[in-house]
Amino acid sequence: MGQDAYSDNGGQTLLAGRYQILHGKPLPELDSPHAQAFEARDQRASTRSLFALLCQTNLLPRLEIIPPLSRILRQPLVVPVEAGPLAWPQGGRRFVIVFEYDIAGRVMAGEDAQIVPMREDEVVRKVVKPLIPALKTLAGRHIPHRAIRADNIFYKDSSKESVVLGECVSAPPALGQPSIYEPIESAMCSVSGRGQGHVADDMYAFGVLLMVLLNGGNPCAGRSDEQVIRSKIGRGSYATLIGEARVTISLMEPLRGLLCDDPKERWTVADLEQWAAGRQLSPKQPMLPTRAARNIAFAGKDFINLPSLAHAMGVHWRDAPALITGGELESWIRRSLSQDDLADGLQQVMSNTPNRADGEAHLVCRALMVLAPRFPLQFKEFVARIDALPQAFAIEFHNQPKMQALLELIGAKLPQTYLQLPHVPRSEQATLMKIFDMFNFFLENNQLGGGIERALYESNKAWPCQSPLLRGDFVSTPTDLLDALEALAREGRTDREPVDRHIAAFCCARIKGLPDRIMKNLNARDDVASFRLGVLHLVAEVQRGDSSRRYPALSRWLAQLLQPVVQSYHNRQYRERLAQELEGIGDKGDLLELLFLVDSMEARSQDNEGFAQAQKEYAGLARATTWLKNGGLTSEAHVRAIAQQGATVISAVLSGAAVVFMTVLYAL
Amino acid sequence: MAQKAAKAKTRGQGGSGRTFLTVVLMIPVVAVLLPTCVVLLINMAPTAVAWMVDRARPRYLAITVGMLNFCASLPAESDLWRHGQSYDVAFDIATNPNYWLIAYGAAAVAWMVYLGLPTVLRGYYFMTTASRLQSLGRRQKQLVEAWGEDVAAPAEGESKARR
Repeated sequence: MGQDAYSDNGGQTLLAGRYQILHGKPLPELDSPHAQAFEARDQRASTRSLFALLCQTNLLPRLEIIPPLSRILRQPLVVPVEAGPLAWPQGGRRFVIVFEYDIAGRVMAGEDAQIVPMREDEVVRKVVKPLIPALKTLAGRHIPHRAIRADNIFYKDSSKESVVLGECVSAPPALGQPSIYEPIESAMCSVSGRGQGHVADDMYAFGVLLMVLLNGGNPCAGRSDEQVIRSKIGRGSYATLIGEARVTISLMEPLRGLLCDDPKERWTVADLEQWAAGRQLSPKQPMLPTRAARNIAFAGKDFINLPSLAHAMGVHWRDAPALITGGELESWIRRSLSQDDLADGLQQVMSNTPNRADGEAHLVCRALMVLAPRFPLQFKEFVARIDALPQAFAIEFHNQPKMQALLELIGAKLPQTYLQLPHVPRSEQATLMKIFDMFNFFLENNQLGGGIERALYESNKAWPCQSPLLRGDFVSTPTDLLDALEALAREGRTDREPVDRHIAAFCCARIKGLPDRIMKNLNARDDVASFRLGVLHLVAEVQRGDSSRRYPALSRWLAQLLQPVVQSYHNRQYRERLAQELEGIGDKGDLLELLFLVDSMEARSQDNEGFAQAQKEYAGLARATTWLKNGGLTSEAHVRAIAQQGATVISAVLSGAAVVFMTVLYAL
Repeated sequence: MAQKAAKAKTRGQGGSGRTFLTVVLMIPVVAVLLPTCVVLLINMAPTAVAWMVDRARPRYLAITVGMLNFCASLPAESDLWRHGQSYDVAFDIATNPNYWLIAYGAAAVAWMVYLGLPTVLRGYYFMTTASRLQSLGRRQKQLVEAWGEDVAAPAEGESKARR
């Protein structure tokens, strides 16, 4: 990716020194749900047709799959050619992804659009067969596409005989997917809580895509997402989506296979390929939940199976505690479902959940883990797959109500409880447990370099820095951060320190082994000099990662801020010399040199020692002054004592001299 | 307390014992050197007066007067011994005003030194104090200029160390 090669070239923004992004020529027909499309050109191959997607700054594109996807050639798949952050003319640094523009129009204009229903043979010829290689390639590389939907497939050319899968990298996985394209567990989730997903989710979405194309639009149009999910749980996805439509037995086979609600039983690409090659596979029978002997009423509706009830309890979680604690649910599970182990589990949850004022949501969450262990984690209005929680934390970071629920969920260690469920794979369990323990650790430590910001950047390794100071600049690496700060300094926006909670946490998460002293200084908010020294130390450590680059404007900004640090030295002469040197060194743009200048251990130690000695001397002088002023020398007692001794000495000297004189005199 | 008192008593007894011994040992000396002692006694009268007048310890006045007085008594003693240390000569010398003048004059000089020195010293010390205060103030000012006002703060509890 061309992360470090960006420049603005007279109205055309240049990526990787090669790809011109024509920011004045938007292509709304190619917009993705979370990215805006623009025309692009390759300076080295002017005939090449390209377009670029400008990503949102608060979302992270799927950086990890851009390189492998860009290596996929000659597949019916829109793959990235180049990607990276660049200075966007409308301000800030934005992440841009360039794609080959060798596609015609979208098959469907939007989620709710209507088209002429495709015939079954058309679907197989134009969609299934062309896309199998793309699905196979993705599955072979273990890359879930997570954006397979009717409005994200394009005709390959104007003949409209074949389709191409649209892009899937401009936003986190499944963020733009309508609920209908997601398997039950994923559809139940908040959009941010769907997570990376699996190739099996793509196969499900592909099945729904076929349904939509056969129907000429959304087969569940007019029904809410909630109703569709309820129907899928109760009747199965195939029955829900097929509705009253009729399909031939040959197409029923792949549709049943692809829309199978058990991911283990769901058709794979290999199954689809075999079917397309003409082999007959046994149709999958829907796996419907066990029916109870009698209905149970909840939230104004009757439920005949446990998964539907559990789903409704998650949706109407405020009503659920009464059902759980009232004993009716337990009795229904024992008598109508004959699942005593479930009822015992529920009873255990009731006895183990602390009886707190805010304990209702906790109780429901824990109860749902027992009643429907394969469902995602449901807490209040927030629902997420367990492995998607870190990413959801990042996506919902600025969404106050959801963030509040997430923090409560994590604070109550409910994810750790969920991970104990038997269906969670051991490999995932250990990794996720570590992440959630880390969350708890940082959420309890609200200092600069910790807190929710640190939890965000630690759990989302490439998530861009969300500091308001950066005004939405895409900053995903420490070097990007210095570039963004340098740009800020050049614009003269230097009215405060270039480090805030986000930047501190971002640096701590991205740079391993930062000295503890930096955080200690940064958290000494009452001591401006220490704080600013911490600021300089932090950005200097960032520059250490790429010490060849220079940041003159940032250096001058920091040099201005360092006055309190200069003043923290006691010796006036040294302070004056330091201030002069700071002025000179700021222009060089070397932050490490700046740090060494103001934070020399030797100079600091000499200054402290000198100051201590000076203090001692001053105290001695003060004592002597006081003594003298109090008549230390001139007091009567002192004068008399000295005079008496003096007189004795004078007498002794005179006597001695006299004796010598007399001796000499008599000797002569 | 009782132990202390007992010790003091013992010490007192020891002191008087030594004095008694000195007096006993001095008797033969005085007996042999009686003319010398008589002349010395007469010439050293100012020292005896100083001894009685000076109640301080140590008896600086007595020592000051005594040393010069004794030196000034030596010419008379020397004259006495030169003439055989007889009682007649001792009488002559003891009544010789020249020797009195020398001995008492030296004693007077010593006494005046003793009495006059405090006044001289007081003046000297006043001058010294003024000059030293000026010098101390100057140095304090230099320290404040070099290290800032904080240098005047107590050393304990004040540290600008940033580490």
